[in-house]
Parts: sequence; C-alpha cells; structure tokens
Amino acid sequence: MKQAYIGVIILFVVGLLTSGMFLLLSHLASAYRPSAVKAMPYESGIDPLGDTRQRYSVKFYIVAMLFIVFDIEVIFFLPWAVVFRDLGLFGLIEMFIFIFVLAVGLAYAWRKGALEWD
Amino acid sequence: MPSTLAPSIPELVIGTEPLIDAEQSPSVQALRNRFGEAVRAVRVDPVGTPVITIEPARIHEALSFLKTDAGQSYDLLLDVMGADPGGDVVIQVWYQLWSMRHGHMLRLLVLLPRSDLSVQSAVDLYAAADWLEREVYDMYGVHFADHPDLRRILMPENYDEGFPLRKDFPLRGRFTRSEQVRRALNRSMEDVYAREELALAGVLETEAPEVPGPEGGQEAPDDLAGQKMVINMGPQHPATHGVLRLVLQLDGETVVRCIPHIGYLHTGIEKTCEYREWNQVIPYTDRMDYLAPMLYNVGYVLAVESLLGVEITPRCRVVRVILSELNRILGHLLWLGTGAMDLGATTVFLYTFSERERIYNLHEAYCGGRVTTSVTRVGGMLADLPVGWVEACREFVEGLPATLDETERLLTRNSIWQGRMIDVGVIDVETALDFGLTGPNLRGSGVAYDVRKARPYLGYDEYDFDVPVGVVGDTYDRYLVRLEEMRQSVRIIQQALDRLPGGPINVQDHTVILPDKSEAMSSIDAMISHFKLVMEGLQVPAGDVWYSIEATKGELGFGIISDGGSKPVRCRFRGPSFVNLASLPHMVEGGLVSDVITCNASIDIVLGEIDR
Amino acid sequence: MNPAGGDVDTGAPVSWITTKVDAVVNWSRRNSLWPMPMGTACCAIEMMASATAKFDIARFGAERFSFSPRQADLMIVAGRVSYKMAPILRRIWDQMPQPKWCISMGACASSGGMFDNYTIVQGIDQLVPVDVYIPGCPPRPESLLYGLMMIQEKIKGESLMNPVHREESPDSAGQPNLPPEAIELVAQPFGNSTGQNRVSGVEGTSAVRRPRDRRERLLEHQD
Repeated sequence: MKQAYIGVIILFVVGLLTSGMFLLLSHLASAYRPSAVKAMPYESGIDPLGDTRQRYSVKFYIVAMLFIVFDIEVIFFLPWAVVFRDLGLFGLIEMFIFIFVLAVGLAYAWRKGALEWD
Repeated sequence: MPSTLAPSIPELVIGTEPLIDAEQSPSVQALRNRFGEAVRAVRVDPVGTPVITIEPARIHEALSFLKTDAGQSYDLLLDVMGADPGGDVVIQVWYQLWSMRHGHMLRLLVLLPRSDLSVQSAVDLYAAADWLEREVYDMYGVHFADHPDLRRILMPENYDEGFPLRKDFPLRGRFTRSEQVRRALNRSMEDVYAREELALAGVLETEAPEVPGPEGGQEAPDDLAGQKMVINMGPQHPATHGVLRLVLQLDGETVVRCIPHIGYLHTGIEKTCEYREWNQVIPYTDRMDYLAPMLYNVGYVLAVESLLGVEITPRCRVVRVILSELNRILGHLLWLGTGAMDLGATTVFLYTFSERERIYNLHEAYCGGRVTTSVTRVGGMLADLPVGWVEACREFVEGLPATLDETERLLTRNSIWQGRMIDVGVIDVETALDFGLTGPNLRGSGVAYDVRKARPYLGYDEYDFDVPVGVVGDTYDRYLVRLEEMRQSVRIIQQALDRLPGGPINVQDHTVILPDKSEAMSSIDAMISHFKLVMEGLQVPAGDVWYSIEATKGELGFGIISDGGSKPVRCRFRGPSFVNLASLPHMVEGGLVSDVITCNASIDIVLGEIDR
Repeated sequence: MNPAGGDVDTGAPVSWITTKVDAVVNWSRRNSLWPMPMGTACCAIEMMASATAKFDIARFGAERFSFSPRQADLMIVAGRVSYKMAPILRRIWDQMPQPKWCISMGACASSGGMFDNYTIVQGIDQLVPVDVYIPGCPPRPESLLYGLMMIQEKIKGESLMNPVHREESPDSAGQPNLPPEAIELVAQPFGNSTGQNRVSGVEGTSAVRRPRDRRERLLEHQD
C-alpha cells in the first residue's frame, strides 16, 4: 500500500517544484512596471462605466453550481477508467448506481429549467 | 404604416424602365398635383431617376405621401445624403427612394440656405433615416427637427472642429496635429458615452425617464434580480468584425439595450475624394469594402461612366461581370469563415481562407494586388486579362462547389449550428424595409430584391441565375441565402467565361481613357489625348447621379456630383453595411449575449464601408 | 565583451552566466510571441491570412492571437487609426504588461498612408513606441512574417541586465509617445499630400489653379 503512495507524493512534490520554479523564474526575468491604467479592468480599451461591484444575476450561480457538480462527477470517472478491469463487475454496478443518482439530479435540473437561461 | 390598399411585394422585384422625360413619371405627376408650387424643379438624372426639388418645409409631407399612397408605395429609403456644392449658396440634401412594390426609383432634393440649415426628420416614416440623418448632421451640420437622438455618428461625440464635409472645412482639419492628438487622448466620459448610456448606468444626476429602450430599467426592485450592467463590447474585440463598439446593458446574460457606436474607422474618404481626380478616387474605393474590393471599383466607374455617357466595350462588360462575381464569392467566403469562427467552427475559417487565397492568386495575376486591386478605370480596365487567366479562373470555379459542399456538410445540418442560428435575430419583411435593409439581409426575410435583376447593369439580364430568398428572416436563412448566392455566382462566372468576347477592353474614345502606349508613341492624336488626360485629368460633364449596384452586403450606392471639372464635387458612398447595422439593436435586444455575436456575424458588416 | 565584467555602453554587469540566461530568456520570448491583433482595416485581412494554412504564423510560435492585452506580447497595429480610435489604442498598449513590442503594419499605421486628412493619425508612433514598421498597402502576409522575424532579431539583442527596452514610466499612460513639436514634424504633409488642391468650390490653395472653373454651370444645371 505504502509503495503506491510514494508515487503520489513524488508527483505532488515535483508538481510543486515545477510550478514554483516557473513562478520564480518569471518573477526574476520579468520587467514589472505597474501603473494605475495597467491595473484598470480591461473593457476593450474604453473606460468602464459603472461599478464592478454590482449584484449580478443568481442564474450565474446556478450554472456554476451545476458545472461543479458534474465536473467532479467526470473527475471520478477518470480513475475508474484506469482500474476498470481490476474492479470487475462489482465496480461496474457500483459506478452505475453512482451515475444513476447523478442522472436523477440532472433530470431534476432539466425539468426545473435550470439548463435554460430564462 | 403603409395603407391597407398597398399592393403586395411581387415575387421578384423588377424595376420599371428608366425614364427620359421626368414628366412621364406617375410620381412626378402625383406630386405636382398634390404640392403644386412646392415642387420647385423636376429633371431626370443620367440613369433615368426623376429628381424632384421640393421646398424644405414640405419634405416630410412629401415623403409621407410617397410612402403611404398606394399608387406610390416608396417603401425603401435607400439613402439620405448631403452635398455642399461650394460657394456659400446652399447645402443639398438628397433622399433616394425605391418602391419595392412598383419598381420605381425617385430622388427628392431639398436646397437648404446656409442661414437655416434645418429640415424635418423622416425617422417617423423610415427607421433607416435615423443613422443616415445623423451622418448628414455630423458631416454638414444640418439639423433634423424631431430626430430622437441627433448626435454625431462618425466623428467623436464632442468633436468641435466643425462639420467636415463642408467646403470651408480644410482637409486636414482646423487644429494642428499635436492639438488633435492631445484632444484625442484626453476624452472624458461624456465624450465617450452618450447621454442615454450614462443614464442607463445611473451615472447621470437625473433619473433616466426618457431613454427610448424597451424597459428603461424602471421596474420595481426585485430581491433576487441582479442589477443591470452596462458594458462595452469592442471596439477592440475579436467578434465584432472590425472596430465596432456595442454598448450593451445586460440583465445577466440577457441584452436589455444595445447601442452601437461607429466611427472608429472613419477615414474621411468622401472628403479626400473631393481632392482627387476621377481615376485617383479608385484606390480609395478599394479601402472601403476591402473584403470585395472590385465591386466598389466597378460600381464607382459605372457611376462616373453614366455621367460621361460613355458605353464600355462588350469585352469590358463581361470582364467586369466576372470580376464582380468573383468578388462576391470572395466577400461571402470571408463572411462564412469569420461567422463560423465566431460560433466556434474554426475549421471552416481555414477552408474558406484557402479558397480566398485562390481568388487572391487570380487578383494578383491580373492587377498585382491581392486586397487593394484598383482594377477599373473610367471607360475600361487597367489592362486586359493576362494569358492563362481565363483557364485559371475556370479551374477555380470548378473547384469551389466541392469546398462549399464540404462546408455545408460541416455546418448546415449541424445541431449546434442550427441551435444557435434558427430563430435567432428574426427580422420580418416590414421591419426589414423600414430599416432600409438590402442584400442577403432583406432576401433572407423573403423579399426577392436584387439590383442585378431589378435594374440590370453590365448586361446581367442576359445571364441565367436565380435569386435565393429566405422564409423566416433569421440568421439561419441568411446563412443559406449567402451560401446559395455563392453557387449562383459560380453559374454566372461560368456563363461569362463562355461568352467572353474579343475586342478591345477599353473604350476607343481617348478623351476618356488613356490610349495604348504604342499608339500614343506613334500617333499624334493619341499623344495629344494622352497629354491632355494626364495633365488636365478626365473632365466629366456637369451633373449628378445616384448609381447603385448589388454588392456583397447589399445595395451599394454612389452619389456623385460633377461640376464639369477633373475632380468630383461630391463623392458619396452609400455603404450597405451602414444602413444594415442600424437593425442590430432590433435583432438582439431581448436575446442573449451569445446571440449578439451571431446576429452581428449574420448582418455581414465591414467597418470600412460603414465608417468610410 | 569587457573582461572586467561590464557592458561598455551601459555599465550593466555582463558575464558568461548573464549572457547564457539572456540567451535562454530571449529565445523563449521570441519563439512564443503572442500577437495582439489591433486590426482595423484592410491590413487586418492580410494579418488574418497570415494566420491561415498557406502562410502559417503559427510556425513562429505566434499561433495564439490574444485579443486580451493581458496575455499578449506583441501588438500588431494593422490598419488605419482614426483620432477616435487613438485613445483606445493607447489604452490597450498601456494595459499590456511588459515585455511588449509593437509592429506598425501597413502604410496607414506607419505614417497615415494615403489618408492625410482631418481624421487619421499620421503614424501611430505619435501614440505608442513602435519597434518595427512594415510598409505596404496592405503588406503581403510574407511581409508581416518578415516583420515578425525582425522583432525576433531585436529580441535577440536584449538583455535582462539592461532594462532600456523595458522602460515604461507610470506617468506615460494615456500620453502621446512624441512631444508636440515632434508630432508636428512627422505629421507634415509629404509627397502627394502636398499637391492636394481642388478644382472647383471655394477652397483656395497655394497650387496653380486649373482653368475654367465650372461651378456656375453646375448651379444653373441644378435649377
């Protein structure tokens, strides 16, 4: 069991080191010239009108929530695809139950109109 | 609103014969009967359009009569243009009208004294007059009474150097260059945003009661509703097809209000052309619709040739047809490629641009330029077709349908493509005519109006081709119409290549066009003509004309005034995209932000001809 | 190379390690230039053509056209820039983070082109610092690619130790690139622009008037 975790730890450490190295090197090589105009929000070259801290529609929140849920579902499929053969029939049925539960959720969202914008 | 007795639009809109005597026109007779003394003058222009000069105070009444009377039914306002013949006398305003139902063209002319540059607005009759009148105000300072939103359209909002197209306005402007740069870079919010937009964003001190939007943001506050956001789409944007700026008021993803701002590419072409000789204008015509430049080249010289009264040679006529149709395909291919890319289908972009490269090879073989071609001259072309060009062109048109088929396989039955385009941006016939739409935008809504059929030029009546027409008027219909138009253009090119006659390419009149170099070097008459043409320039007889052809985007009009000299007094280019774009807010308000992209792509605009 | 360890011109420290670091950094920068296409008119069409299969700007690493200035290195101004568009151009340039380069593509962006009039900026170098000018109306896609290669050559000569190329003061945001005297100098009419004169109408010019002003004939023709 522990041997499998060594691989994960190595991956984690290498990932941290690589991304850290990218950030460090970019920081060292960069020419950082901040200015007020550079920090302004980009709006196709025009001065933005109105405040950015406005209350926006709750529909965006619903779309984001649905996305997160189904994205995580897909992420769970990936390791299952890797160990598909080892899990055998038992794993297949269990995953189908998992999919079924989420499909009920999708059907509910669909019926309730959460997938339409209006 | 048209009266209930108005006849319906015919299946295929065909114009009546051009007139020689203005008094023959039923509209002239009706106007004389009704307005009597207010009709100051009547004449016919070189293409047979009656031109009626009317007293400025009665123009609105006259337009209203011409639109609503069943016998007149001038349902399409093609153009409103200003003209300054110079000399502090008057500023002219032209109204070019077309009757879809009867096939008549008409021009109303008002002469406004400089002391009183105001006239009643026609916006309540034709929605197309909105932007057209704003442009006349911007360029000449003519005030249109009762216009809902009379502000500058091409120049910046608070531009205060003057009115550019007036003859007393210097070509380079009134301020020094450094002052112009300084002013350009120091714009305030009021310079950049219209009052309506500032009101929508709640930035103005007063509340916003008089905004002409659908709701104006006056609903009762809802606990769950978000606030409406005002954002800019463009001018620097991948999907606006150029430097177009759309100020959108959004409620979540829904567009509540869309206000287009143009003028970011205003190049002052019309003013500059007043300082160029007749043939020197031709390179400027390339730079307007740079997607299909030869159509502008051809249309402009046709307009000047109508003033000259010169008949081009049969070979020139067929060559111009071939080049026009090649450029129609060129323009539609770009529309298809960029429109598909906007909706995500990048492959189609690469396919269409490969085909465009083949057309560019043909361009380059003929005139040396790919994009800016300048192929025509008044009275002919820059040169005859090179050896092998006809075979290369034939090979191209034989290969094009295969690419179009492949593109159709990718798109037409594609559920994503259909889902994004069907019932999006619907525009019905009456609204389309009201907005002055022409070209595939109007044909998509069901009106079979194509200038090549209605008022044939270059012998288009001798070619066998169909005019595709849509049913619903949504973006999908416009897509199908343009695809089919490309196939019809292939048909026309094949017929033209088959019937290409021999003979000279230029007219043999050497007061119009330069003689061949060999002739100029050997014959004294030819040498004298060459000398006069180069030193004095082509002299076009005094007169004016409003000439139009069918360009890729719609009806392309040229309003040319000559005073007999070697340079035009007025060179107006009625770019179809300018009028078509005004219908964008109608199409997108109430839809989603993604539909803005789709509708914008389906109108097929090119900012060069909108802003000129 | 100065064996004492300093650049002759600027005195910045130069050594084997800095040249190697510069080589790596410059190599990576010049082979992954992400263009920001500030395309306005006809030149933009040739720029789009350079991104297609026949000319393929992607082989230079410039595949990803970034319309957001935040992720772009190279602003390609392709097309004529009007005074209305000028503040937009300057703002987009200001919002691009360093390192950034600018290509002025075409005659109109470089000098105003054939439009010497009230509305076109006579060269974008009045607004933003330009690295490479590409002549042409419009330049062929191959010209744009050659201009891109010139930028790559320019990047080869840069150094991290010598930030002269990366100078950008916060006060310069929104300001023109040239002082007013220089703008007047570069925007003067030249070539054919000096000969712009009218035949008819009332615009008086210093050029020789052509004979036979036919304005009267037009007026009597109108009524």
